[in-house]
Amino acid sequence: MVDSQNIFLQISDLSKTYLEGGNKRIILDQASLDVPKGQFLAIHGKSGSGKTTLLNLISGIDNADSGRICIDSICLTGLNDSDRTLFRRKQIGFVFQFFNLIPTLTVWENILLPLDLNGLTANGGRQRAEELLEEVGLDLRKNIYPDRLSGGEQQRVAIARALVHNPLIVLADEPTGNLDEETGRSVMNLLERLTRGLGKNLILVTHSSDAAAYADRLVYLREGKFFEKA
Amino acid sequence: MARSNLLPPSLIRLAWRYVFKRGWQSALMILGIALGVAVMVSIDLANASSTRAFELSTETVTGKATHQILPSGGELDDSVYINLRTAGVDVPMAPVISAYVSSPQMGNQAFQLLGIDPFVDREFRDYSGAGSSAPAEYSLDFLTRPGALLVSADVAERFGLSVGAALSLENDGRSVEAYVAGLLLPDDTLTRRSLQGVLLADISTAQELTGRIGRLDRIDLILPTESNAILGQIQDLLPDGMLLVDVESRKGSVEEMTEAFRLNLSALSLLALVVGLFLIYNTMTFSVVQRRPLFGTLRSLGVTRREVFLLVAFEAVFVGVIGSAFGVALGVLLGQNTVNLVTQTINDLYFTTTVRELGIQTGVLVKGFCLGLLAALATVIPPAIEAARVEPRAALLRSGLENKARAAVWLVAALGAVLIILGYLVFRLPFDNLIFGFGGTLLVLTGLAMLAAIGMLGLLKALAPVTARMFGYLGRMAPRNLISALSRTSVAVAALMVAVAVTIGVSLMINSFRYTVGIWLEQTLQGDIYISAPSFTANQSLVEIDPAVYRQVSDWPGVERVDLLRSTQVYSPYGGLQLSASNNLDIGRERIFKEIKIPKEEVFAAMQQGGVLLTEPLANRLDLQVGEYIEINTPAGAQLFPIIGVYYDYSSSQGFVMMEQEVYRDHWKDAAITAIALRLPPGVDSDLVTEELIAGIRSDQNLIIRPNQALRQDVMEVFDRTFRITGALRILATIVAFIGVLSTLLLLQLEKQREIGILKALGLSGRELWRLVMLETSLMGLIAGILAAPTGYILSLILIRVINLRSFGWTLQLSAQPGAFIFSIAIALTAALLAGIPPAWRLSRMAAADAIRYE
Repeated sequence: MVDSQNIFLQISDLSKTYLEGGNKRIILDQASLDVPKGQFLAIHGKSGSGKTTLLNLISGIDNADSGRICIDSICLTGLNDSDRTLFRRKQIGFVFQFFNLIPTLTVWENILLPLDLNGLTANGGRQRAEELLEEVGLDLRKNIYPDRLSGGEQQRVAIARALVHNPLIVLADEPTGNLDEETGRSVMNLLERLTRGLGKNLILVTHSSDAAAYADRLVYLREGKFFEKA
Repeated sequence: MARSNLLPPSLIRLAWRYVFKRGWQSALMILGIALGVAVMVSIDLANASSTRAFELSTETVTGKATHQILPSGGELDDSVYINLRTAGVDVPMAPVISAYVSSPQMGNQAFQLLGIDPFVDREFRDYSGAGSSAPAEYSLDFLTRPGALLVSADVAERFGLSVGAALSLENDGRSVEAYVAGLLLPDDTLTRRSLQGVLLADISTAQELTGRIGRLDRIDLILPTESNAILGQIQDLLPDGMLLVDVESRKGSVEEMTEAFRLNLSALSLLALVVGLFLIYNTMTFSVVQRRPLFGTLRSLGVTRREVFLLVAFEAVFVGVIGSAFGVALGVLLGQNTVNLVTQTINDLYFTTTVRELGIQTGVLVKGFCLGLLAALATVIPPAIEAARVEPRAALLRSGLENKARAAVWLVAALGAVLIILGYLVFRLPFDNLIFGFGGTLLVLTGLAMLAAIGMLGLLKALAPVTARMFGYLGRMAPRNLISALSRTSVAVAALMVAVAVTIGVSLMINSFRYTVGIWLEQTLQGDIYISAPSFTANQSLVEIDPAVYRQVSDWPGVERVDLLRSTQVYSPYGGLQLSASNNLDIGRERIFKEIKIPKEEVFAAMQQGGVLLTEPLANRLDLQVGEYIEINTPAGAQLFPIIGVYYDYSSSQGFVMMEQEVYRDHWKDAAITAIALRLPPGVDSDLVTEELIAGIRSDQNLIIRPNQALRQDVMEVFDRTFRITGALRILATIVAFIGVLSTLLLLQLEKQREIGILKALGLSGRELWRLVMLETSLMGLIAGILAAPTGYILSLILIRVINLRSFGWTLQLSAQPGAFIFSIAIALTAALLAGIPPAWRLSRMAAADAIRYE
């Protein structure tokens, strides 16, 4: 059990269903989960079990049918679309399976993007971006476009982009799903090092047991509910 | 959490970099806007320049005059001026002679010869300046020597004339000798510009040069604001038939005369911009669809819907600014040619005006730029909304979007039908306003464009079995590919359809016009030989023919009958009217009547009793019917003339009153003649008699003597010249549409690059790829052409029955020749096929691996 004083992410009785061809498909069924500050949480589950939907709900991309999600005392379920977007812009760092870098921006500009969106380019923002760029080992390639990078390099840029604006929490959706084993390991090492180093929470959705091994805690998502791994 | 910045710098960078990265795509959009804006700016500049030139020449000749005394038909004797002077009317007044002349020493261009009395004219017009060689009180030579003229220093420089240079002036077919007595160099630029088309003479010199001894064209007056008592005093002193008119009201009527013409040109010039907008819409929609994953990512990173909307709008602003700026520059370059075409048409149809240079008016340039930019912005709103609606959970699949598009086809079609009905209702509104006419046309055309998607879907389904049979699996793929990208392909087809429909509609309208004019000429021109004096307007000469000519042709061997026509300008409560007086006994049989209540054989007799005929444009313009009366100012005062018939006439959009000649002479005491028609007995060679007349007539006046056939050819030549500018605008709109199709096809093929890469990887040869792409593009062209045929036909009906009728008052017979349809479908197919070449070439050269890798 998590100490109620120390709860950072609280998911209570969360439900989400989709309509598929007229049939109702339950994705989350009154699921609840408490995550303490600084925890590195991995969510495991079969394809279609609702892992990505869960990340979408935590980031405010999608809206739950019922239940609550609160991050650091801010309850997303009470915000409208616009406020959820601004919350996401400020407090969430995202790492995607397919990297999703902006092809018309350089490596450096991709990393600067969240700072720019939040108006943080001044006040040490750029210096922080420089440091992160160095941490991910791409400082010498900062002015090239993403299509010249390998998959692993692109994911490293995505990690820097996810952390540069000092978000409350980092969400990673199958970050190694599109990488070979070795590159995946190196990316996970980097993600863990940087996230832990900054004291951030990481919610990792993955199929990979190797990736899940980096987590402090592993939770299964099955039939719309969370199950703790003993 | 709200942010005040309009758009973060990263997103601005993202927008302009996208525009640069898609270089050719952006270049085509820029070209589309630029051409649209250029056409509009050039027409606006030409319209403004010709209007300004006319205003300047009007200001030059009216000067500070507030009122003018004019004859309503007939003549203004200079005794009227002397009487006013001796009666002690205490207001500034000046006699004026105003005539158009040309001279081989001045490029045979039309100049306004202005005859003034220098002793009284200074209060009205002041042309002298510090640099003038004419002294302040004008030189003695100017006042006393025959043929002495003052020309502006600019004109003298342009034609290499110096003081003392001899000039042969042509006026009303007569040649007279004059010379440059001095140069005018006014201090202010406006007066210098206004003098570009003017030759100044002493009043008596002008009377001699124009053969108007003892006559004036008008008397200018400067009356105080509260001038009722003076007005009354002058009215009492004026003999019957003289009118005292307000200068402002005269100016207004001239502007009204060409308003419809200018409005039509402006509307047509907007067409290229409208077609250009399809291009922007299409390209921007494409770019949004292509970038759905990108927008999804941005939304995931916290970019708001508003910011995504602004991002897309910013791209449009960028393209719009560059395109509009290029368009304005191109418009200025095109303007010089356009101004010549516009001026030629105004001279042919309305009045003589000389435009020496294209006036670059900042207002026109700013308007063109803003309209281009606003149009680009307005067009991008739907795709920008679409972009803003992209869900952050990474973009619906494209197939989902296309399913949505196919479902929306019916909705769009229903909306289109509603617009068509609305347009029809606008036409039925009880106002004959031209703006409503154009508004209704736009609604109908937009409505028809919205039906293009459903039409395309239906035609593709119908054509699929045919293409499958003809081209095998490629023939099965091509229609499916087009249907699967219907949201974009239908917009391209709609754009091409609109452009081709406009080509068909305008062609049918011009063909119908030509056909109607041909029939009208055949019916109306019954004379064998026509004689008139040269004039600067093409449609109807008001220049009097030397009476000696009439006397000679009356007794000419082989001439059976002589019909005489007097055309003149008279005044009425409606303003200036053109009046023609004829002695043609068969006028009833030789006119095509729109409305008449007596047998045609009795028309001439009724006219001899004072009845008049109106041409259709005049009846429409003044809203007069058969059975009503028209009031005209005669020398004996205002008279009411019964209207006995309204007939079709295409010689003047202002229209005129046709009166029997003796009736006219009784009222106006004017025996002058402006045109003569000779009738020959059957079997007499009119060409031969014409040659004999040209060789044998003794007169100091140059005459135009031409057989019936030559006159018809001349009329048709003027007709074709009038529509030259319409043809040019039509071609430009088609070019813009072509660019639209090229852009769409390039985008479409680019988007399918990956799919095509797979096909290549599976063994599709470069040749087969060519065939597939060309099959798709020809299907698009063919469908656009097929859909354009009924659309063009509907448009031609609107142009003929609404726009033309409201603009010019002419009823035209629709002549739907299949050639116009076939030609237009061929244009659509050719445009589409040509547009298919670059993408086909590009894709067939691309290695399969590259195509598959493409993101």
